[in-house]
Amino acid sequence: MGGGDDLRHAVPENILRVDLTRKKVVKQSLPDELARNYLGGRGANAKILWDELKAGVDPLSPDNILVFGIGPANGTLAPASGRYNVSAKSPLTGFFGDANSGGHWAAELKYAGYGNLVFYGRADKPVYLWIDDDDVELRDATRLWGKDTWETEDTITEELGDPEIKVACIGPAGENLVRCACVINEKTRAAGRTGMGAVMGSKNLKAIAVRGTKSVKVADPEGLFEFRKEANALISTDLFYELYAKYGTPGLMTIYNEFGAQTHYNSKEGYAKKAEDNLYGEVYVERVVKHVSACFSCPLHCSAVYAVDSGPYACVGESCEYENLTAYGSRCGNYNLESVVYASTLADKLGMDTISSGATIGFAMECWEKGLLDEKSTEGLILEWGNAEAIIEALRRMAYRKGKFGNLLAEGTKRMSEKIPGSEKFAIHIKGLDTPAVDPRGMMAYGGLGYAVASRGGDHLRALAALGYSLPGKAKELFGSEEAADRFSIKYAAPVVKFHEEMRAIADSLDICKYITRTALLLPEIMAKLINVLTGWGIDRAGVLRIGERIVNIERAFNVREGLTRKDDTQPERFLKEPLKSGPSAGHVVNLKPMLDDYYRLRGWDLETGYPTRGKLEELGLSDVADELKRIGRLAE
Amino acid sequence: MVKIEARYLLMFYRYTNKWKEMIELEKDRPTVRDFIEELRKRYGQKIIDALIDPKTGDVRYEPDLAEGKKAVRILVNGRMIWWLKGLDTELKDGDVIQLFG
Amino acid sequence: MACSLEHAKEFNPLKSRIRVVRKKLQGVFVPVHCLQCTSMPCAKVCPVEAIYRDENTWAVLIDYDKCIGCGECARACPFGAITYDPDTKQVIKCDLCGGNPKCVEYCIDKAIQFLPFEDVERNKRFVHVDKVARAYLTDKEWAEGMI
Repeated sequence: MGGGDDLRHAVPENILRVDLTRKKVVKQSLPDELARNYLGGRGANAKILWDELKAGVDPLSPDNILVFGIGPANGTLAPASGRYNVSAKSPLTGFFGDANSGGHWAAELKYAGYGNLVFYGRADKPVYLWIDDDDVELRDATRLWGKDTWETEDTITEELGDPEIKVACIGPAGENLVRCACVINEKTRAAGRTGMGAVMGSKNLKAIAVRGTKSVKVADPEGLFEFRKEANALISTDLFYELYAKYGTPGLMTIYNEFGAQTHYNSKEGYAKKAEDNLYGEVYVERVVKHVSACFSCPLHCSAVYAVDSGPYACVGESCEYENLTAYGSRCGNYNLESVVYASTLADKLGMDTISSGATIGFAMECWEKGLLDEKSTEGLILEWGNAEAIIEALRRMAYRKGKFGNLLAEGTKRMSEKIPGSEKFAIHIKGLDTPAVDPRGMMAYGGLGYAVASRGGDHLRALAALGYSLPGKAKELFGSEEAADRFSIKYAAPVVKFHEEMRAIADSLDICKYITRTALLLPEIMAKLINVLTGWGIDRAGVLRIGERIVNIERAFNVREGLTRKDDTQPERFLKEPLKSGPSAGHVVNLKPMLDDYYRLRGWDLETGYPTRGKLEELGLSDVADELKRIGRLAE
Repeated sequence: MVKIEARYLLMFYRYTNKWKEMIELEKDRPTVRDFIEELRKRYGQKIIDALIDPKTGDVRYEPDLAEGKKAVRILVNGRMIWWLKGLDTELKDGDVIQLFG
Repeated sequence: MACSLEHAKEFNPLKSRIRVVRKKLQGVFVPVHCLQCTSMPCAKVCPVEAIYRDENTWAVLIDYDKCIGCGECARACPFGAITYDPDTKQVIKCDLCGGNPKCVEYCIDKAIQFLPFEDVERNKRFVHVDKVARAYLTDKEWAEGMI
């Protein structure tokens, strides 16, 4: 405990810089400006990567930089304050890679006193980082290498003698540099997308174990008590409260299938009656859920401990999400719930992103259907729609890069489609990142525009444009018309997505969970209140939006520096050209051009290239970023 | 006589103890309002209180913090009735009404 | 969180007087706190008689002018509900916040409730009856009466 922590409320004390090549650990005080301008979490990670990472490096080389980040809200009574972000250049997309995870690890890191962990280089032998308040040590992980994420955590907590130690680690997938490999903490929480596990594996970093016993002070404790009371009331009366609190995200399978905007058969269909009795949230809860569970300080408790007691898919686990039910379920034409749940636990143990791994398998299934793959080329895997055994075997081969086909799967959908002529048409990814469960042809702002412009690729969480249909009255206030709440509206997609991207960036940087901000908590005035009771900065609504905008722009600059242009902000051909055939959203395609033009105009980015303009960057205090982009000829004037 | 399928999603399951059923509505051109009346006959006033805000007589689209009541939605064939004709939306044979909240 | 903020003015689970034990994969999540036992085993072993009963709230309290931080009470507690604060070097335990427990206020699902002893038993009887009655009532009777 230093003398400084009384003056700076809620903001984490230190940054830890770990040079894995030289095995050196340096602790530095976290700069005030980093917190003030970027809050922390994802924002701070983005700033650090912009400042320190050279453009054009191979993401799996020692030159990549891996950053973990948390923010002012973690470890406090702020609702759902148990999230952290992991960022680096992505081996899957080649652009800004970033993943977010829940549980309790983030709170533990906050109690240990660190805001960011920055990893450079590569260790010559497998290591893991052990953070025990001020004592930080790189320990040998040779005997952990090869273990799955569950065994790794158990071995570490036993070795260090404390079951309360929180562990974030990679499994065999990360070790084998599978491009969609992820980071798993506490066995079942995943920082899933963009292959951050592979970056960690490429650095020979097996795990980060944390124990923190220090305290966190906030500027206005009474104010925070009051805020939490109000937040609890807003959350418990929200439209989605019952969905999350009782069914968890699997309740979304019900919603989106009823909307007709659900991914079935690699996005060939948007609606399937079969999903009703097999994959809906109601069925999930009835058949496999044992007990509801929650992340740190969360009143929504959207997670659940599940178990299949007997049979070929016997397993136990936590956090089988809507995306899992889609990835291993509807996307692959598999409506056997128990097999999907088994595959989820397997993915957690192996350390692979459910969305991307499921999407790659679904893609392979469509290749099989169209005769582009056969039993010889798949080395024995019968990739027929709905073949659960094949899905499970495919996951194992992917994690270990087993055989030529397993190796091909491990490279991800985009690279795989480049090797299978004729398959690019139905490789459903944007910038290399597989698109998530909701079919964008049924949700224009959320998916049609949101996926296309997300900084990490085909992703629903950068925008998660939900306020529109949660609070239609607010839609008029914020965007000028109730039409903004219409999921088919093209006209209002751009302002809706812009607003949501900024507020999601704020949530990811405070590091609170975006699900509690599906309600009125999403509003900038309410986030300003939270930031003020935590830090005492006296920020206002405009200030909050400006920080959000700054984070979006710095991620954009990072991507532009790595070669992104307008043509990357696109949709797979299927979504642009093939209308949905059946269900409540039948007949729709994504009409991207007008939405994208509107979006670039609102963002202050060049319509032709997609580059940020100097004017916009300077407005956000990023003139040095503008200079850097100018230097490489990628600034719009 | 019009036959529709009613789905009681999420919290509405609690009021009906089933999550879908076929319902026959007597009128030739029934509206959502008629469906709600049928709901009242089958399940009582409590489910209506969860759906309709007594102050406006319309669906409770926004949360009522003072009463601690949740926001809800009614959809017909996957489309919120807000975008159709609200409670006066007509129902045809084979339509699906979804209640969720 | 609510507890440590209320008592220590800072966030630190180690300073909370209510600690949740999580055995996640078994689906077991149990908050552990002082049950204000009638026989007060903690008070019996305290060498300086620092533990006493508050007649108004019925809470078992620690007199911090007397507490020497020996930890005997923590060892005597059958539930592990007394813990040690390394900063103040004395022990801490639930004091019912003077009659209006903060943790109860902030638990959104009412998993923790502050009730008279008789109410706890009665609630259990009602839950049991609910389950039995479900089998006999029609859907409408159920919706009208039991929610």
